[in-house]
Amino acid sequence: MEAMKSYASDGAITMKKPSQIKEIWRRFRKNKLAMAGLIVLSVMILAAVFAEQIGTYQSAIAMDVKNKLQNPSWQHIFGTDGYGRDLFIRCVHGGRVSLFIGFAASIAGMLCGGILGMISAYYGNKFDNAVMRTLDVFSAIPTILLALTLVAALGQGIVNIIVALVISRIPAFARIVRASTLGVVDQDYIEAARAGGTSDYHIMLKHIIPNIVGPLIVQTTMNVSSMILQTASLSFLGLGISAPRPEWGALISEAKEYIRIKPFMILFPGLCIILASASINLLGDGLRDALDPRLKS
Amino acid sequence: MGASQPLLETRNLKKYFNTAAGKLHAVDDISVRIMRRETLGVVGESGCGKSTLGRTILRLIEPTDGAILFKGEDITRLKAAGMREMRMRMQIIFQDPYSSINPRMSVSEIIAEYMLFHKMYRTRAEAWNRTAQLMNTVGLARRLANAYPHELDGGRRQRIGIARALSMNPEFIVCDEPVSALDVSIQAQILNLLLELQREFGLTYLFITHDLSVVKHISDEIMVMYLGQCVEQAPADELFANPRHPYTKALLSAIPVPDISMRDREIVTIRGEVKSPINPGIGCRFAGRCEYALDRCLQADVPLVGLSEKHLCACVRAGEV
Repeated sequence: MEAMKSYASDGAITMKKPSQIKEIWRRFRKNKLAMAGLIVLSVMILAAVFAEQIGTYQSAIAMDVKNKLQNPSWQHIFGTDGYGRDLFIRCVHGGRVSLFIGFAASIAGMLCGGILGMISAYYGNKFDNAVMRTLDVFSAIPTILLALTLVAALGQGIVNIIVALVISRIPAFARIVRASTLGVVDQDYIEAARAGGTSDYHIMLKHIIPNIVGPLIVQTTMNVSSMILQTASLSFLGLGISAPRPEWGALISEAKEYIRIKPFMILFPGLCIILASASINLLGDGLRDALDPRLKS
Repeated sequence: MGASQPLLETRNLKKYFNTAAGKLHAVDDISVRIMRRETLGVVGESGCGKSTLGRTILRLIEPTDGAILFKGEDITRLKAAGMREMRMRMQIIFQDPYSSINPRMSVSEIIAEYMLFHKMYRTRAEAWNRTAQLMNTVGLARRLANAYPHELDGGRRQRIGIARALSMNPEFIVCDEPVSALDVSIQAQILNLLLELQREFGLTYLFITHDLSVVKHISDEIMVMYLGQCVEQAPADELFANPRHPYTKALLSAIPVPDISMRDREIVTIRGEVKSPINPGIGCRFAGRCEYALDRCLQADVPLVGLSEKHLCACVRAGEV
């Protein structure tokens, strides 16, 4: 650690200190599990991005009834579904939708809810009350019901699903961020920053956010997997992604008919969800630890 | 401005907090004058409003009533922008060196924060130069520039807080119990540092403490607070030699004297509990615990009267006891 610090024998402090990102990466790399999560997730994201190169979308939706319900083989490594479509290609294309919705909804929910929660805790009093009571109203409605209603009202489609999921997630994020912020605004360094004549914006950006980012990252990453599952539930209920477009949840929903005779059909998309969720959570844990200078070793 | 104009003056400063039970009189009618390059020590027991007074003077807490004059200018009337300017001239050093600095920032970032925010220097390099200079001034080794607060002990952390306060080139600093959270050996270092800085930069301090031996060492004048009010104010030597308020007497008598011949000296102890600061009502707030209390102590508020030019005391029997 000493070697990473810059020394100046005299004169100015060399502000060539190791850049924050490099420092964080150095700490992150030490966490084996988090690295494993990062690698698995990267592979999945790469597969999703280059899905078209792995197998065309056309081949993922074209039926081939002669080859239906085949067991996994070298030709179809995940086997084929009830319409003879290659499950591996469908899983890859499904990842495109699932991962995109998972990340987009989590990040958008984190930003909207986080900003709301932080501002609400920072200014407190009546504003805080107004915001939190409004959010209480939202959280009184079951998430899936709210999402269902919104999708029914706005119509199906990826963007509408994301909007519905984000709205249903805002209260949870706002509450978590508000709670962490309340713990930080009482600290003397916030008062010191005020005594230094800095602005509220500066205080939130430099003092509050860095000190609440830990729980927020964990929450966001945990949320990605639950967003993937929510999308799956919506698809399962017929309000998510419409057939024949593949999506992990929809794949499970389709496979349930064959669960007795071809259990692998439900196993593979299920594995995709589990792997993605687990690796995102591990990544989030590692990131939280890497971001905290107090934990550096 | 004339030599007799105080650098900082408060006039009938009041801060009441609204609580469920009523109005909490944290700072009640405090008028002080602090001359340039002097130190006003504020002593009193926990909860008597010392820290609230310090924070109210800096408008970190908005006063309920009264005026705060900095070089004759009433800062309670300043708008946000004017106050931002004013903050460069008035700073604060906190009691707890653990919560007063952001654990996510490195030492140099903490010290340079205000300078960078206010763009006090044209280039970042100049600001870093100044940071290095400040670290030197407060006695922090330069190799600590990129260290994080958790790697440092309380004394060093407090030095960071002092450097940060100095970065704005202030004229007036509120020291809110700056040594009470530190080990005794480090207390002396920090106190001496504060005294040196005062000499070097011509600083004016409002020094809040509950430690009487500290306050005598550092103050020119001392104000004794009890439940939000000033009960006695005098030059430091005068106060220690000739305390007039029964509360001050009791406080001074509680200082341990490391002298064997003094073991038989009488110690005045205060009985009873501090009265609640919520809706305290009229009359002397100390009367319930005072051995000299008379009926008239409770019939009307006891004004702060001058016993001599610089010695003020709020006791109806100040002349006799």
